[in-house]
Amino acid sequence: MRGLAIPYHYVLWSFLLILSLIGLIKIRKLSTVSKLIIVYVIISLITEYVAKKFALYYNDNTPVFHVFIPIQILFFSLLYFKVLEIKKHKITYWSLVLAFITLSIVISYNTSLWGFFPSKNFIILCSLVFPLSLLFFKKMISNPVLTILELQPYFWINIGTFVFFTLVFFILGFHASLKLNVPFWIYDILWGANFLMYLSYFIAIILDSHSKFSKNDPIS
Amino acid sequence: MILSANTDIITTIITGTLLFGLLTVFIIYFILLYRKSQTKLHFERERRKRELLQAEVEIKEQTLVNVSREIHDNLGQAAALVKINLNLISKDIPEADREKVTESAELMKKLIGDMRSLSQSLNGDNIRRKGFIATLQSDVDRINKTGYVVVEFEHSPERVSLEADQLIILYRIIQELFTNTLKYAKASNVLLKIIEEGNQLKVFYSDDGIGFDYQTALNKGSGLSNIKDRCAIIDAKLYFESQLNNGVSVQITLEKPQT
Repeated sequence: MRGLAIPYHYVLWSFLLILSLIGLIKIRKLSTVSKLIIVYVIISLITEYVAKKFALYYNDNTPVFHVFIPIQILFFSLLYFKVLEIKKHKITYWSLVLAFITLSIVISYNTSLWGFFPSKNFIILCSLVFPLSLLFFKKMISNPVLTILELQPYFWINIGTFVFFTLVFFILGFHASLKLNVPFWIYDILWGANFLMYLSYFIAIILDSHSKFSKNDPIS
Repeated sequence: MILSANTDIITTIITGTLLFGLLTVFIIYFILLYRKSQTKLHFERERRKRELLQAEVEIKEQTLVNVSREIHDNLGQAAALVKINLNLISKDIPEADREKVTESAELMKKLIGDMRSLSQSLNGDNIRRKGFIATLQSDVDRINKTGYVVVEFEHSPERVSLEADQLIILYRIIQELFTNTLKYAKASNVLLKIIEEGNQLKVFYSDDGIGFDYQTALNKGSGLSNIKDRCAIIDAKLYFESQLNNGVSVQITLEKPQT
């Protein structure tokens, strides 16, 4: 994104701000899942802003991400808890989530918050989100609805999350573990995927705010 | 060092391309799979809807048969008894009153006749016994007798080769069309035409009444939606054409079973 005349973070901030405002305006029409997405977008906006300030004042923004990851684990767990309609294994599910959060905090605690990018924590986050998004794809296939797929808000939420976290998992996990000299443009792809994830959330919120598309409950 | 960096870049490009390829394949595969399950769901819903409509029609048909039996067995018998009594009384009363009683006996005779035709038209079994065309002819004659409208009935086949259940439903559709004409159309003439064309049975129905707006009528009452639902049950294609003050024209096309 260094080739862009406008810095990437300004584009992202503007987009997140627009998304948050649209979400807040349409909040009454939105489903619980979309409301959660709005909360996440606002938290992301704050995180991105604080990270930039940290980078400016302390030349290092890694501590922000150490704090952000446990929040992300909690958020995506809540999101998929809602969309997957988990009823039977609530205790197992939340115990697993607690284990992931604890692991992430322990890793952050054992390594210096400063100057150390939480790649492992991201891998922990991805290893939770990746199977959950796959499970949701499976649920969609076994409980289809007659609405066109491209008009289903949950499809966009899941596809955006799935693509982004798959890329994060492979780029951070695979390359970091192989200690390869990753070319810097690979991180541009990651930022692009991040942007695409928010774009898919934007589509989902717009679709969800139209009542005729918001009925996603499968009728078996 | 440079060699190692180049190898890393090549590895990155290869794994990256593979990853993107896999993601694309996965998403396309998911979309195809989802569409397949949507089609399955669609057919399942259609099947259930048809079954439900079928059950509804069967219940209605059974109710009509019961009402028909009740009219024929109880009301018909009672009316016949009243008629006999009136005839007996007429012999024992003075001449001056006899005319009134005879008139009442005649009215009772007409009532018995009407009840018999009504009972026959309500009972779908008559189609099995008398045949589809003959039952329709009786209905047409009955309507013509009322003098409200003139029904012209044309038919090329003497026997319609459809399943008995299909014929009963088709008969009910035509009855519904007659009812609509008599109740709302203010028509003077009705044409009912049944023809066979190749492997198809075609029913044409038209009247010269006041017509209606199809969508408004569909939302308003159950008559038109009944016709639509019944056509769906027997896999008949329904074509409606109507404009205000321009009468109505209906075409129902059915595929005949392969012999």
